[in-house]
Amino acid sequence: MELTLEQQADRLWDVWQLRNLIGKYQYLLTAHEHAQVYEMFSKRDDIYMDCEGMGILDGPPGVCKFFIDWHQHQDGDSMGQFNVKTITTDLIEVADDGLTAFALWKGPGYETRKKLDGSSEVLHLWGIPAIDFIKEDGEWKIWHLRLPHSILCDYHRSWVDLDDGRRVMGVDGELKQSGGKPKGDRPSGFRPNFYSQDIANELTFELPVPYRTYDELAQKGFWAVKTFTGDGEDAE
Amino acid sequence: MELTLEQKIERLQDAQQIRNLMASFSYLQAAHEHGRVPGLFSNREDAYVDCEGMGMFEGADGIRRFLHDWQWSLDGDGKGSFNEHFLASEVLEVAGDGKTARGLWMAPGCETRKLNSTGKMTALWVWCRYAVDFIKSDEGWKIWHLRIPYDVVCDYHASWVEKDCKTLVNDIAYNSKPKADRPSGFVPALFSMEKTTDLFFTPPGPYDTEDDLTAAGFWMQ
Repeated sequence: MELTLEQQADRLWDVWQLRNLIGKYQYLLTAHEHAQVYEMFSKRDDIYMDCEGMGILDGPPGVCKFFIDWHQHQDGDSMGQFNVKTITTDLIEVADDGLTAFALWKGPGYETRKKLDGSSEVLHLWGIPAIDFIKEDGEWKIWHLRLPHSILCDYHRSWVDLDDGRRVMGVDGELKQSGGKPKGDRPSGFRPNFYSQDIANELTFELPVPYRTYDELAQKGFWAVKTFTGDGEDAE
Repeated sequence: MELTLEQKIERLQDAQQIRNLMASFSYLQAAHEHGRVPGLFSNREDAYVDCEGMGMFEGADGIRRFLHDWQWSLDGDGKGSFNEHFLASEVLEVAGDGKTARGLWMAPGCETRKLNSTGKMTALWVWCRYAVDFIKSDEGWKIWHLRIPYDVVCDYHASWVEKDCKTLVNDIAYNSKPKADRPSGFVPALFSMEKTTDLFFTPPGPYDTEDDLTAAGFWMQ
């Protein structure tokens, strides 16, 4: 598909809009504006949120459960509750037809959460959002948001110190919020990605590449996880 | 060089493709896809990687020795070995003629490496920069010259002030170290109490052609 000059400019405009959309998403999350985050999603029934450790929460009810119910549960009265993530390393591809887009980001950040004993804990939590977008009435919306993580540890113990299961028991297990974690409607669509000394990190999602239409991308199995032999040779 | 509207749009497309190329480098490195990383580079004989503390690795063979062989040497079987850097503070200029480009990024991150002194996997904060020349090929934009100066390397539990960065770097375990083709072309940047931090690499400014890239003093302080 040969794009006209105007279409080429439109696609660059789309990239700019998408970068701002996800920047806004992060600022709103930090400010506990969870209802506004929910509004950034498409109104389609097939939207979903797929968060590592929870699974896929389907449709508007699932996304609402994750971004409003779950985050309000974590925040409580929001005093001393802190969730700052950054948006870096964007890899964005907009379809030639300008109707969909696929993108990856790295999102290093910090959180402060209450522990079961009432004290507060400072955490390093880094996510790697892999997102499909869809344009609705000329406006970009989040369609599918997948959120694998790379590290989770508290301020005083590194991701290596808390390996071998202590990450879950030592961080998640001590947090007041953990009891209210929503259960996914179905299993997560990607492999667990949290740091572990027992696994070699792999490419969780294939990198976005130029494409013409969503149908073409779906045929390529775009987000399929790559295999990895771990013996010094990369699998095809 | 005065650009037409069409040329300006082309330069913006170039910048977006280069941004995606550098992000691909970042994601593939973190995922131990070392076999795919050399493919992001130009196959010109004058392509190179210049990494602080290692030296300059030239041409396709040198690039493979550094980005494939050396990375596997650090990773061992890959289990627990971890290398997550992100791209920030981008300054990117595409030549007016659209054939080359030059970019500068800060790349804060963290790594997990085995230390010789303890024999244990250790969590490290590692911040570096990428000072990169790009060249357009028949296959699109490629990395031409990649320079990697380091800002800080420190243990999770001891800051770069408390433990000397260079001593810590020299303690990182590996199987075998590839020999560089030439000494590094830039002054070491790694934090030390004995030196000051300077610009190291000048942020790129607008330029017209490849010839401007070789103008004296463009990169180096």
